[in-house]
Amino acid sequence: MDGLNQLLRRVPVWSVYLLGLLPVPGLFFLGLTGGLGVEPVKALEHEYGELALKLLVAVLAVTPLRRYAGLNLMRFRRALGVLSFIYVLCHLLVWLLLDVQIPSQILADILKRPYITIGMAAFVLLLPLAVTSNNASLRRLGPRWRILHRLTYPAIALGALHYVMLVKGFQIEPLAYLAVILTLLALRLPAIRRKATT
Amino acid sequence: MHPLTIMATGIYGKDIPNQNGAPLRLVVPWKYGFKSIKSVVRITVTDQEPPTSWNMANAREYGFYSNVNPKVDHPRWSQATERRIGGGLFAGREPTLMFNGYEKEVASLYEGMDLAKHF
Repeated sequence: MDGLNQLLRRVPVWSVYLLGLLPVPGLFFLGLTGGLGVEPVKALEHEYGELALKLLVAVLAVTPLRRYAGLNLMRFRRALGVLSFIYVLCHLLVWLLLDVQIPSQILADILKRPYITIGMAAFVLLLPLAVTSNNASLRRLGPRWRILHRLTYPAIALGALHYVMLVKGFQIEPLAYLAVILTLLALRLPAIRRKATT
Repeated sequence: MHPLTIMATGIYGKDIPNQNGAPLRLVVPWKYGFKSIKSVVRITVTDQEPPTSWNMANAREYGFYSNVNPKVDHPRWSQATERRIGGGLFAGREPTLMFNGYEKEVASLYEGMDLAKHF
């Protein structure tokens, strides 16, 4: 594991950003050229949303991986967080501009449909985290930065719930995401942490 | 059977394949797609409302009648507008028509019914 950690130390953070951003134009291009099927708007919306959720799971996995497996990905965590926000934003923009389009219907949907209300709440929670994801904010906020960024936890939980609620009935995939996310969150509970370290 | 409904044995000029509902598929153009029963192997004439699969799976979301009705919201989305399939990424929304545009032909079948209750 030490060798792997040493190898990872040589991986520049910008390469994570570059690799992580590729699907944004990639999927859009597929949508334009028929690669996402006959209903590209829904497909693009779902692809961006699911990638956001995957990246959020990765963000959440960093600390447990270090604690229980000794794998240190801490350097890449902020990049993963910023990337996940970008995908949430893309997901939201596709919904706003390509899917629903009609302002009155957008507002009605946010108020009337619980899964959309919850999705929007998760987005609002992530907003201050994205804004303060730069070094200057980190310095200015000091220890408060860490406290503020604990908003990640409720945001991810709401994201998973959003997925569970928006599908038809109860389906395996969103429930699997929810289970993984709740497990990763549970690993942070003081009682479980204490048990694991002793 | 209403003249608009079709019992389809083929699709695009060929025999209907299994995945599209062989051997016989019902097509009811003024209802949502899930009412166009695939793979019909038996027809029972009854005077009672039969149980239907989507209604049993989620009664709140899928009613027995399932007419295309822009005025009644699906619990998870508005049904007032639609994007045409095949319109691509930038297809605009257009208003959904009552009974999928067949109001003149089929509205009389549901006369006097509260379509918000019998959805």
